Amino acid sequence: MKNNNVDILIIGAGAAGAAAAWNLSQSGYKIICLEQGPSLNYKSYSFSQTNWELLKQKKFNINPNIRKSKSDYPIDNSKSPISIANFNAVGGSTILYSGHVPRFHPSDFKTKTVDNVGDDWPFEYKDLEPFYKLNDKIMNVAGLVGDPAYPPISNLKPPVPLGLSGKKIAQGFNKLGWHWWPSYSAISTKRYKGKKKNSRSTVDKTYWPLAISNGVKLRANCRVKKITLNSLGNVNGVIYTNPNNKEKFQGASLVIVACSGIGTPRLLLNSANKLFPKGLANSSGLVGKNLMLHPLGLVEGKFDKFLGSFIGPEGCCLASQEFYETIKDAKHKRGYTMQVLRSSGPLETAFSARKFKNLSFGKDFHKQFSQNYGKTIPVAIICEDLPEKHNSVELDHNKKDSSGMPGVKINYKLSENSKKMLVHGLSKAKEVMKKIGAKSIMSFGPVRHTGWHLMGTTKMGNSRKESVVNEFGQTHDIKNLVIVDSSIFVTSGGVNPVSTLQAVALKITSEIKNSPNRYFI
Amino acid sequence: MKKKKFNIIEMNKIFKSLINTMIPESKIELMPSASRAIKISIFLKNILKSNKLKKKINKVLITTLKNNKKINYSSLGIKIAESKIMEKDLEKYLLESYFSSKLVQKQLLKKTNKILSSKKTNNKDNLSLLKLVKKSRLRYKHI
Repeated sequence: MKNNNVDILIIGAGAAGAAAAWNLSQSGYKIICLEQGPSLNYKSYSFSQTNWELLKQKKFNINPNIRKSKSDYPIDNSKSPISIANFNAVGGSTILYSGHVPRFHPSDFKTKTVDNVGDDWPFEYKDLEPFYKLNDKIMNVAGLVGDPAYPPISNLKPPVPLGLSGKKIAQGFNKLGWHWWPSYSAISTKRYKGKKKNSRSTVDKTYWPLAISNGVKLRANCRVKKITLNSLGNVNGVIYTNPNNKEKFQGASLVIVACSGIGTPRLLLNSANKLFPKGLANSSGLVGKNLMLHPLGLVEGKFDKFLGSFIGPEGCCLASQEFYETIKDAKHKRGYTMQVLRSSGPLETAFSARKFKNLSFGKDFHKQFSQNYGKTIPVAIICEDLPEKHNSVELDHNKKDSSGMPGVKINYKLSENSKKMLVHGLSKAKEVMKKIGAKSIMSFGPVRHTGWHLMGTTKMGNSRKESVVNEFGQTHDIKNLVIVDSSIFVTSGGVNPVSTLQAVALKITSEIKNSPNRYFI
Repeated sequence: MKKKKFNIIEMNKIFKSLINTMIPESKIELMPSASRAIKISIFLKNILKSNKLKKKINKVLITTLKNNKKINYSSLGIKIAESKIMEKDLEKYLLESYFSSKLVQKQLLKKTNKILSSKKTNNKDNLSLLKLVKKSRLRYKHI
């Protein structure tokens, strides 16, 4: 009988899975990646399409419960003030991300030591630095060197232009003497290898072509339902549904899970068996616990003059990290980033203006629309979320996906620390808006539909009682089961996690290349 | 009494004036009317997909016609728009169709370029803005 077993099986073709696949593809292993979503033509999700705002409401909605595509799974957000956002396809959530890719700060890896909250990571910023650098190169990260908020970062592509709105708010930060810096953006600001200028670097266009050309087999529309064990308790493969929804087995010597902070615990919990009745690799009971989401506040200033503030990549303008570290005498620990965004396109502007009764139909429609369009500057407050065991992901056996696999329930409460941090962030962003003469300021938080950053649910650490994986991404319980996505994050930082999760995936897979005996049976 | 049924030509006339009253042309703002940007037949097809909305439209049309017996179809559309009775039901469809239309997007781009061409700045402005930050203290903790 033909042996179809592979050396390495990667589950999930998103940001982490892609980085892992490329890094391992250079070492001669037989590798396969199974992805539950489809492989998309990049033109279908280009933000520059005429009807993009319309597609964002439906087919490319960030909420899987609205999209309801075959590759999505049900997520019950009713017990959370923040709903989960994701995208399931080759490229994962990078298909819809803004491309804002700042790094974590050195202190993010030592929050217990520095601020006596959260926990320390089993490695430090300097250990991750070479992998950040490698990831920046492959993701074509643009930015400006010399940022005083970070240790030196080099080899960046030219930064995205600030635009009139960026320059205006930068003046406000300057007046207050607060830090700001042009965004670190995975946006191709220079023409590179035939790719169009100003396109976002999604991993289906960056890592995947390189991995596939090195021989990695990528199978789209294949949903892994269970990870299986042999009689010795080691992983021996997975059960998945193929594109025709038929169950199949794929054998593997090493399984790498890269399904996000929600998808990874879902798969491990659904893979419970006699040896691991609470869920695979869950002897600690921590699979699905410590969910961190980055509560987000929004402040929007409205100005008299047209700023063309919708021009440019939507999440990438500039960011202030003046209040990123713990502030002496503040009511909260740790901190946040003030991320200056671009304003909405015409459709979202119209919807929002209608919602807030700033736009009426009839003879004044266009005049009122012009008073809103391109005249606002939005600032997002990205708050560091601290790990708490009661914030969790669990299986929802009442709602199943298209293959019959259970969906998930989210149990999440905003901590007192996050609430205080949000209040602080909102008031500081309003201060900037006032400094630059905003005509009116709107602020609120947490914003519900912003649960993009999914972290902590299979925590990394040295103790098998207090964590799920070790510093090498290996589960404490099963040697040849590895996790490389943001579910292993110990703390959340106060920035978008994608560059950190990719750097972590590169670090762990480099370890697999350098010390295979640590992982293979 | 037999209920009046509207044929597609009548419906087109009614809805053309209805949506043009909701979003009229603006010469000052250089923006087209709704019916110039949207294909009425497609718009109608979209909204009539909802049975609930279809029923409400029929009811509103018949009631308005009953109260304004000698009215033509264009005026009927205007009456309905001015009464705002359908506004909540139609706004999502109307805004989506209008702002996704190529003509509207072209006009918005034209307007944007016209305004911004008078405000062109160069990269040197960025550098002068950044000078202040570059000179400032480090914001990250040395661990």
